[in-house]
Amino acid sequence: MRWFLVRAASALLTLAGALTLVFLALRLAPGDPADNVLGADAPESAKREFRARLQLDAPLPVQYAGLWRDVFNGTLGRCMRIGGTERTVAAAIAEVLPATAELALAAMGLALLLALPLGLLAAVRQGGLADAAVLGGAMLVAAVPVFWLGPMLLYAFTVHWSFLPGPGEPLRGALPLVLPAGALALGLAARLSRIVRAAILDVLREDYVTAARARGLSEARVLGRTVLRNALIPIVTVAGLQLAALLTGAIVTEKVFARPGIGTLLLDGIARRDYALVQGCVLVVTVVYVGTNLLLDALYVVLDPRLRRRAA
Amino acid sequence: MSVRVRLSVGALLAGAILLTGLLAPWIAPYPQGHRDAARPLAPTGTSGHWLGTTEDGTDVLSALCHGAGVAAIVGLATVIVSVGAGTALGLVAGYTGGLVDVILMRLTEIFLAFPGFLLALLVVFAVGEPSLLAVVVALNLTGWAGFARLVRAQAMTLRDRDFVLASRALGASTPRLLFVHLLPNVLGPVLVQATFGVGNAILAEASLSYLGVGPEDATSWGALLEEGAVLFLKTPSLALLSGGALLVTIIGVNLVGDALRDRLDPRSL
Repeated sequence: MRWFLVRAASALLTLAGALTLVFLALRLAPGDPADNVLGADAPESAKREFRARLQLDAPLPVQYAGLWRDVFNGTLGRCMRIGGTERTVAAAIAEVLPATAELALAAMGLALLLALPLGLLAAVRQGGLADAAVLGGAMLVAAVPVFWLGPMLLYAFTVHWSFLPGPGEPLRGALPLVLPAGALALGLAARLSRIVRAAILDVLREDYVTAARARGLSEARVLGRTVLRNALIPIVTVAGLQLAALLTGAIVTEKVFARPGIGTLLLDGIARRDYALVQGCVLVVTVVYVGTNLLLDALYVVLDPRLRRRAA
Repeated sequence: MSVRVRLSVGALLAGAILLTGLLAPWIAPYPQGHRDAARPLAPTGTSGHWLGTTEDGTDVLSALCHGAGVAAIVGLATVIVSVGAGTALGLVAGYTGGLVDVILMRLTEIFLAFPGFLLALLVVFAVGEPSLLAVVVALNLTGWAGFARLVRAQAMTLRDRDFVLASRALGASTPRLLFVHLLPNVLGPVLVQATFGVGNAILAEASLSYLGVGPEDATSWGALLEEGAVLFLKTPSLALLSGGALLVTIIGVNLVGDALRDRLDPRSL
């Protein structure tokens, strides 16, 4: 427990650092936000009003304190304007976050569903044709960017064969999730299948696997219970590390498939040059990322009894 | 595929495209920014525009060549700066240890905990109308951290080895120890990581351009792909060609990285 608290405190420190980094990146970049938003030819009075409203005319420490105030009161600041009504960044994000979570979780699930059997097959048949096919296929698929694969899949499944709904059509049931999640999952599955293969190969060399076989356990039981379970730690680690790629991919995927989500909201904020909204979206994605890594650390302790003893 | 085949095929693919990019100002049929307004959306095979034109009359072949230039500059410049900064910090942290190590590594962890692409997106957004240089700087903001951690781990295992102790006993200065004795010994894994870094930087820039926040002063494959995806039903060649160029480059770079990893670091995955 004490170990987890130390890790949590360290994660909070990291988040505070990341928040500061976001703040500095926006404030220290060259160019005047008022020029960027209103245009360089806008009257000086309008620019002054804009800077005052966003507190951009205040000294840097005051702006920094304002950022923390917005974080602690849970609003993350106010959106510049969406549909005529002003609302908080937190409310705008809360509305679209479930859609992004659904996409990311579906993609991760699909990727694991593909990567585990493929990685296992490649490891068991190491050096054979299946191994070469999995490794070669993984290298090829991992190089395909989601913003290329997406339009190709869209064209194939919605225009050419037209048996899936296209972008912008009403989302109903699980069907409209299939293409975006599939496009996002393929690259991830390619990277994970290599890790699964390597992790399983490592475990296969262990003495306890030989011992399990010597006790007369069936090969399926050895692989399913002994090997796969012990290979889970590196697999979970890499799956967790891939989360950043997954969240980044989700932003691009949402644009490709015109899906609502935090990526679409972020791009909308960029197009309207809404500083508070962009800052809020980046912050929330970072919190999800750091938080998931913390949960994964806790999960290792559950998965590995050796770590459990050390943590206690 | 054997290590040698992967290395040769990868180097050939990536080398050809990156070289095309670096020579683009001289070998592209039309200069950057040239538009044939009289012939928008010309099909492939049109005289003077063998791969057709885009909606604003830009020659696709020229755009692909200039896009390769952007990929080459972004990939190489990002990795050179990231490797330089990360290696120097990692060597100092790993060799010195103590408080310097704690501070440098805490800083590194913050940058590593941050989804790098998002920070780049944020910086490019804040700049307003980003130049190619701004995109490279943005991608470098988190790029160095992975190298710093990698080099620090290597430096820590090396600092108590006999050859380092011997040089120290002979009176070698710290900079000499770091850069003459330790540096050559950490370069293997760094080279492998750097190769993958080139591919990642090219992909990140293309993603930024696809999202509409790429460099304003250069033609990027990502921006061409975005236009190609919109026009896919009218003229599929633009999306297919720009995506294909990106794909071939990434596969080439990854083949080189993979082969180098197998050759230099047999313990890795």
